[in-house]
Amino acid sequence: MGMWTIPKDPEPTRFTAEELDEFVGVVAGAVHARRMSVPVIMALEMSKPLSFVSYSSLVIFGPILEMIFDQVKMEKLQAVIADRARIEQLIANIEDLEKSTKEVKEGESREQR
Amino acid sequence: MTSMLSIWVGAFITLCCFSFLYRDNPFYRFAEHLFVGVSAGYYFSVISFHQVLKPNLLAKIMPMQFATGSAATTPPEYMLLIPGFMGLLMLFRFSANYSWVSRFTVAFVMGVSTGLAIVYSAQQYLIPQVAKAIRPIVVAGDFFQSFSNLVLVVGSVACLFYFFFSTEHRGPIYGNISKVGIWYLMLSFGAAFGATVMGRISLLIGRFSFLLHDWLGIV
Repeated sequence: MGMWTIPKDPEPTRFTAEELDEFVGVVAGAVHARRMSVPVIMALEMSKPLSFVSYSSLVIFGPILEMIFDQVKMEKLQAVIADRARIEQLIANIEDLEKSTKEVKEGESREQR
Repeated sequence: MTSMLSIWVGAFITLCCFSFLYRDNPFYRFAEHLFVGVSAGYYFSVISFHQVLKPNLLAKIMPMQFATGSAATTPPEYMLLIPGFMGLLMLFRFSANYSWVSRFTVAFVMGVSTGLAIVYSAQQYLIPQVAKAIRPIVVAGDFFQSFSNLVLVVGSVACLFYFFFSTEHRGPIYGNISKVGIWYLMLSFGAAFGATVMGRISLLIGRFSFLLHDWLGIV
């Protein structure tokens, strides 16, 4: 697939769609657990148009980063960042987690009243 | 003629980048691939070779061939063959079976970098931060200074509580202090975001100025 082709589906990677979905869910959960949803969403929204540049940087520095971080996780992160739809999915997952927490809190406060 | 060409190329690439405002399209893809390609080429040829490898290694091992001026007559420093050899070990990353060899170099670099970074960070950030946090909370006759000191001390403590992930952020003391830490972090992120937006807007103005003044000559 050349650079002129804008894929409707993500480019094939060594990971299945389910594996990447799971990885995106784990990342979203980690962000939500640290209550960093707002800054992370803002950062992702800001950097989304430059996802290819971020992806290229990860590929260039991959050999170094893979010695520090888990190689499989790094490759999954590359696959996620390479695809703008996946970044959008990550943002949506974080927002969903935020919404569900908000609903639970609202339910609890209603019960207390 | 050359400046005219560079203005037209610059205007075309600027418009390619702006085309992303509509949607993802081949022109934007061309611009981002061009940026990555040129950056990589520039980094590896100009910076890596001409600014790092040549003056720091080649010009010192083979001064007659690579050094210029009075440096060309200095005696070769063969001790530098050791770091040069360690750099070559990094190329083993290309081999699936022998990629472990490159770990010697990375371990050395990481060890030295970490050691230097710890000292540098402690001197430049940690100690000044601690020194600035040790302040009188009440300054007699100066309400604003007292308030400023209080904000600094509370913020430092609360952010430290927040970044302590070994325990869950719950309970009346730990939970509430970490919540205050979150507020401080959000305020600092907001300030950073505002500064980023301002920076981006000034870049946008610069691009529009280029398009309307340099390229079209309207303004």
